[in-house]
Amino acid sequence: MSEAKSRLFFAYARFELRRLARRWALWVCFGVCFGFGAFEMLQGHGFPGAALFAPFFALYLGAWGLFEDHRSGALDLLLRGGLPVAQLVLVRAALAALAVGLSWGILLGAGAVLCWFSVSQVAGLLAVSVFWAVVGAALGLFVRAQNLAVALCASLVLQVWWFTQLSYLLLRQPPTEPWPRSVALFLQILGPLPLSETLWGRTLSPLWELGRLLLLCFFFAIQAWLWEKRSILVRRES
Amino acid sequence: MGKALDSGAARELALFARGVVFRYPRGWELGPVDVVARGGEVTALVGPNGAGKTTLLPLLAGLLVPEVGEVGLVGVRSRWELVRSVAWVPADPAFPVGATVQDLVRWHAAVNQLDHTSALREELAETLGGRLGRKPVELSRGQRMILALQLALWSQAQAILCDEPWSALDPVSRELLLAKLRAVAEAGKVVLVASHDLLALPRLAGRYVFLAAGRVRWSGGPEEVPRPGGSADLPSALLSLYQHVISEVAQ
Repeated sequence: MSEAKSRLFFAYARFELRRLARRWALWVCFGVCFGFGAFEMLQGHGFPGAALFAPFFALYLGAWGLFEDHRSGALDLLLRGGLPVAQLVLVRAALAALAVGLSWGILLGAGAVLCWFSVSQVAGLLAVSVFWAVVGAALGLFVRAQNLAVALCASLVLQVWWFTQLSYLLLRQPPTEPWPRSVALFLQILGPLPLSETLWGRTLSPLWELGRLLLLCFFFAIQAWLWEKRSILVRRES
Repeated sequence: MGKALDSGAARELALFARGVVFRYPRGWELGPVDVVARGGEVTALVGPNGAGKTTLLPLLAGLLVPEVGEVGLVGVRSRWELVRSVAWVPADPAFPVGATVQDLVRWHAAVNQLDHTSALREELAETLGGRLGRKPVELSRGQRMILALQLALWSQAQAILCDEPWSALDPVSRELLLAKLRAVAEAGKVVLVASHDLLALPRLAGRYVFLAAGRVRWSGGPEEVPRPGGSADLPSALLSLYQHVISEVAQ
């Protein structure tokens, strides 16, 4: 990367950090969740359930404000800095992934070192968080961060419901059968849970989470190509 | 206010649209339009409401992509380079949500490699009454416009496009802005101003582009403006042109 490009990246990252840092309500929620996770881990010497909220924070941080900037035309002020849309999105995704990944990574990494749970559980959660950070930043241009978070909640509910009732109700088969399993795989990609925390994926290697990231790279490449070709400005004044 | 271009580069610098057609999803269409705004002079974009002025400006800035035709700045090869080289200031400027004026100044100083941030802050604080820690949404419409224009003027953009830039400004700020835009044009950059202010434009513009119903109806210098009925001054001649074009479009 050229010196000019890296200067732009860091300038934009600093700009984003400053405005994200002012979202104090979000950081209070994050702190409470993180503190509760640490407490849970120390008490039970196991993988904390609160850590499963990490992908939600990654998604919200990745997406926050982008929809409003896109709709109002303010994105132009940022683009004038010289970074194309795809790179602005990547910087935002990287910041979200770093904020969530570093905090939870350090905490859970310590638990894994103490052998309270496996490294693969930590790796799985971090992969899912990175996935949702990028999805949040990419979709954040078109959907409000709050709506994305609600959609992720809904997909989690659907995922759990599929295993407990829906598979029997709709297909009259247990969720472990091949056909319901393929639906579960689809819901898995759309959901915030790492494989290690699902009923059917516990036995699978966390490397399967990489499939999710490969899929993401494919869709992101298509979206980046579209951004090159299409209008960026949404608002119309006349 | 950015670097001045040498006289040769200024002569060659031009922002252009060739055979540009743009359609909104609900059917309104601009074009085909051919427009050239040259470096070293202020070009005024005039025309009745709904003529397409506000659509043409983001097209020229590379933010909207034309269905047909080509938009560019001489010497600029890629779309993102065009976006970087053209500063567009809309009539009601928007700013990134959650950012303060201070954040925007820092961002602009960093991307434009301006090393005198404190001087920029002082200049802006004077105009905005020391409200740099506030978010732009907390400023008045006029102050938001001043902020957007100032960021555009500080940038290294080769072309500055403004939509009704002084409609919300007080007379003192307006005079200051006119002087700044004149200075930018004299430094060799492209300045394109869309406005209905027929009294202020003749003090600024060296060339006019008259747009109506999505097409260029007339373009030329102040001395070429048609003067039906022998109207002597430029504002009256422009007003006659407005009336003529509006009645033509209505028919």
